[in-house]
Amino acid sequence: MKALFVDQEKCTGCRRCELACSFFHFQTYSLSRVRLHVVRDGEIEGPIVCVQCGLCQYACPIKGAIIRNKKTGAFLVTTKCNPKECNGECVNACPYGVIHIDLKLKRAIKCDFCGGSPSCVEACPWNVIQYIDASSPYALNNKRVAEVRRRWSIERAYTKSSLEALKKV
Amino acid sequence: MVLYSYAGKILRVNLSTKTIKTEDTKKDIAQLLLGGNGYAAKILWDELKPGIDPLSPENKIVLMTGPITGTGAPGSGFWEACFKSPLTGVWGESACGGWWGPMLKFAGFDGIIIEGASENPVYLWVHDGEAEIKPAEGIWGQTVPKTEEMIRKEIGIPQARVLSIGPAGEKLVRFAGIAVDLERYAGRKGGGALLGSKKVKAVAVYGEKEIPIAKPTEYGKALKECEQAVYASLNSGGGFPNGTLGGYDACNQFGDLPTKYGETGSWEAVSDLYQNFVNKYLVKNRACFGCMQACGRVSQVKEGPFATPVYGGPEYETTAGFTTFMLQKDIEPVIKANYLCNIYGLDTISTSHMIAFAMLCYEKGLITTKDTDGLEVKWGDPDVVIKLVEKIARREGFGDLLAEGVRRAAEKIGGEAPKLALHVKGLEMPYHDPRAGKTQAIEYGTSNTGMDHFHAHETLDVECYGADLGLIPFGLPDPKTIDRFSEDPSKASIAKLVMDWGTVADALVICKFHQYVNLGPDKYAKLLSLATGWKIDGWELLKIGDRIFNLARAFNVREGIRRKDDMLPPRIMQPATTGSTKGVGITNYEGMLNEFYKLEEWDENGIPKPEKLKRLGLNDVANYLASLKS
Ligand code: SF4
Ligand code: SF4
Ligand code: SF4
Repeated sequence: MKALFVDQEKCTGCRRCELACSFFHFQTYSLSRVRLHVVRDGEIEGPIVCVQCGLCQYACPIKGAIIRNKKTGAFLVTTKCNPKECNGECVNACPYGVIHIDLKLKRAIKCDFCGGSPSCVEACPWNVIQYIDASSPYALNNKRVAEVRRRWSIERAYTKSSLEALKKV
Repeated sequence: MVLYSYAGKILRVNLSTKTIKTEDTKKDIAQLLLGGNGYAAKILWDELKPGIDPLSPENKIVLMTGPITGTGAPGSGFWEACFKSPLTGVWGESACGGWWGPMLKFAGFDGIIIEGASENPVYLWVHDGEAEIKPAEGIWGQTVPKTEEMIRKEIGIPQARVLSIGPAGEKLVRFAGIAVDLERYAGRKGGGALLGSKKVKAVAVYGEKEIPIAKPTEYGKALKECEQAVYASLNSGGGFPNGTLGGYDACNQFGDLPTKYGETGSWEAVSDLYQNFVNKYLVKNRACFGCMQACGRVSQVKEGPFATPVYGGPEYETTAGFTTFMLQKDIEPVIKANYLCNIYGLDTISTSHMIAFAMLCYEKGLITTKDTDGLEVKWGDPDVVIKLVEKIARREGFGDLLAEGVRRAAEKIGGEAPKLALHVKGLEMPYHDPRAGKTQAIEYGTSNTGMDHFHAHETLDVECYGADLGLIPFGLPDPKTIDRFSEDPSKASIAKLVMDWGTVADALVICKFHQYVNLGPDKYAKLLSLATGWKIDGWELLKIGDRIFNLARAFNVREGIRRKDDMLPPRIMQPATTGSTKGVGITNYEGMLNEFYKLEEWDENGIPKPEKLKRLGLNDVANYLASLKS
């Protein structure tokens, strides 16, 4: 099973990964309709990606709204998702702030690995984001991955407030 | 009606009446002039009265993005500030990277027109299609980083992007710049002083809108092609992966590194400076929004008298200015001086230029310690440099004189000072030496902003460094075949082509460094066409460049600019005294200039001919100029 891993030290903050993510899914450019976030804290910056931990699915009260794709392992939001019938439990549950309610779609959006060939990985000029076997030695030994997630999990969502958005749906 | 890839709205803020209006981005203007400098030139031509004082409330500043800003096109992170310059009194235009421009579009606006003046300090908060004028009393007087921090905190959105001025802009230092994102600058021509005169401390933007693309599937494909082209260029040594400072040694070898206030073009004492910088002071690279090159050099001096925090460090121009131009040989004072300029909001080019000018005047006895608050302003003394930066930023003592820019300061100093001063139209010379590549002389003379190396474009890069800027299909001779020292009038056609391409880059609002990585007019025309749904090819793009260049020229003619103002300062025409350009001067400048006028279809006074302007679709401009007595 593959997952996204981040080598934060190489990131230049160009945000091409976010642009590619929004363009792949919506054919427009946006820094809000994205499923990963490049955040900056002083001189350190890097992307926060979904780790497909599945807490969103665990938290979701609607059966079948978030399912797991057997092939990629990605947790996917289905058309059963209806933010009118919940309290945005998925948004609240995500430790990394990478699941949002999309105002146009009126559903949650989250990383789906682009079906198996991640656009962000292809777009990054510096190979900061890699889509590699989750049990590969690189991933296991990369302490930076742990560090960047610890740092960035505090900043949560890029969007102003996903819960605020929830009210508008 | 959707104007694809534009935000579709322009914000107009009148500070005198405290009113905010939203206007539609006009399709006819957009098709004629795109965005950026083009759209702004139209606004300023229509709305500014000729002859106004640039620091009066009658002046306006237009902050513009372009049609492909924020669209993922390489280099699409830029924005432009256009205004009548407080430094030169003519067309002022400054381009800047970072993230502010795209964020303005995500906030729902293609541009902001700021007019009038406020009595009390204010800042603008632009978000999600709305704007507010907010009090800034508590922030006035703060440095740039502090300002950004305070504003982000006040509005409560850490991801908001902030454009701001420092104390130098507040004090109306004529070459105060506009800072964004702590490290990117619309540095030149005094935009910061202009905002200071309007009491605007900052403009914060944030938004969550998206940018619609007319033909997304094809756009995606075209973008992939562009990305491949950029990678190919970067892999073969093109572009700016080592930042602008990476070119420092080459400039020195080519005699393109102005030394001792332009006496010559190279200096042996700095031959290991770049390597030293990389080894000891470089922290990391940082990119502007959407950039694949990441030319930004984050740096730090860790300890000692020149210690700084980690910040977006010195570019080539800054380094040249604070080293060879003033005979100062170490990198540490450069990093420190750059840091101070950044936090006070000073243009590093004009600031270092003024300090070097003071050193020259001091050497020649035109000024003494009586004029300089007791400072011995000797060539290359790093302590003097740091003290003068501080004095200029605060307009304190001798700094008050230097803060006026070289033209005004030289007049006040008197004697032979005005003859020594290196400027055109009042803009201080930047750090590329026209003796190293003669086409550059034409650009320095005819640029609408004055003695400017990047507006319209740096022609030296073609002649010295072999960059073709994607222009070979459009008639540029293979750069390898160009004799850089020739002053044949045919150089004018190179200048014209390169400058039109440079001008339109500021209307698309892209980073010009992307023209160095295989992205020529055809590539950008394709992206533009697919993003907007219009049909525009490379030739049409160059024509738009021609149109904008001449519109800005007309703006200057209306302000009184004529042929005499296109002349170069004598000191830079004299033979260089050392290095690979030793003995090389500029001898046929007017010959090249005459040919340039011919190509531009300007009359002998430098006024664009009405026929030409009409052909470009600028009828009202043509009629106005026709009514002028030369
Ligand atoms: S893998 Fe695809 S969906 Fe996930 S963050 Fe990257 S681009 Fe977005
Ligand atoms: S594309 Fe790569 S370098 Fe750019 S912001 Fe994303 S992770 Fe960083
Ligand atoms: S090349 Fe440099 S200035 Fe241009 S967009 Fe990239 S980082 Fe910014």
